[in-house]
Amino acid sequence: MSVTQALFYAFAALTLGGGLFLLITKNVLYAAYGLMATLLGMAALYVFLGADFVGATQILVYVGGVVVLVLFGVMLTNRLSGQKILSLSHNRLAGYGLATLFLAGLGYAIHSMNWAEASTTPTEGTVKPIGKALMTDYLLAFELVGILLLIVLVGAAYVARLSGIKEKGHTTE
Amino acid sequence: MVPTSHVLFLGAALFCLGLAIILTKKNTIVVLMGVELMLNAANLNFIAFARMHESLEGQIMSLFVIVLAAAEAAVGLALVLRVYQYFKTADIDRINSVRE
Repeated sequence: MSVTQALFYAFAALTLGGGLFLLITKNVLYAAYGLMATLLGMAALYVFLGADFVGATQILVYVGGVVVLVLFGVMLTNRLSGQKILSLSHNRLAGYGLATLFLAGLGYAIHSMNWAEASTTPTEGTVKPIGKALMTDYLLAFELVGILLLIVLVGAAYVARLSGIKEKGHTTE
Repeated sequence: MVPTSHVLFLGAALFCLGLAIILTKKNTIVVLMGVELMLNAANLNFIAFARMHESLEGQIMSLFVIVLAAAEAAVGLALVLRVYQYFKTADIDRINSVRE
């Protein structure tokens, strides 16, 4: 086993470990950190699979953006200070059983397929070809995604505004 | 090199972890984290197939998935905040009314 292979499996273990921690832990804040470990491991795996630009984007958008957003969400929705923020589970047996069954099905499907051998030629940087493709073949999708992001951010800011909120039980009949 | 099937196994395992989280967790934010995990598992498959076929299309698709996942997280957390301000809880089981 070469060094790159060993590193790949190490990062795969980090990714799976973060996911398992997310499933097991009861503390929402720790769960956010588990998610961060998973996303970081994922970015490393992308780089190993020859997608360096996607890996960098993963770190920028997920680790830098989504995880921070989730942390804000955790802190804004749990204002009992000094008390641990717990996330309990329900339907454990059914949920885990269903997920395990699904995993077994997927594993069987993957195992029974004959996958083509992956290319062993090391890829050169993907930034330039991806930029060219986004500006030519995928220009419409690219622009639409930009408009969607603008609408989503305006909408999220509008939905999360503080004014005009009635609390349950304090509404006027 | 790592065979494609190993990457696909990892993606399947992450997807099922996300599924288990969505099915069992009570806190809305943790459920959103499970959704992010599932989206990432799909992304891993895109990248694995892009490597297998030596083409860039899978990578570009996964870039779009990342953007859409960020949008989903923003809207989802805004909705969670709104619901929390009204119900004073983020527990899914106790959010059980759709009228004011």
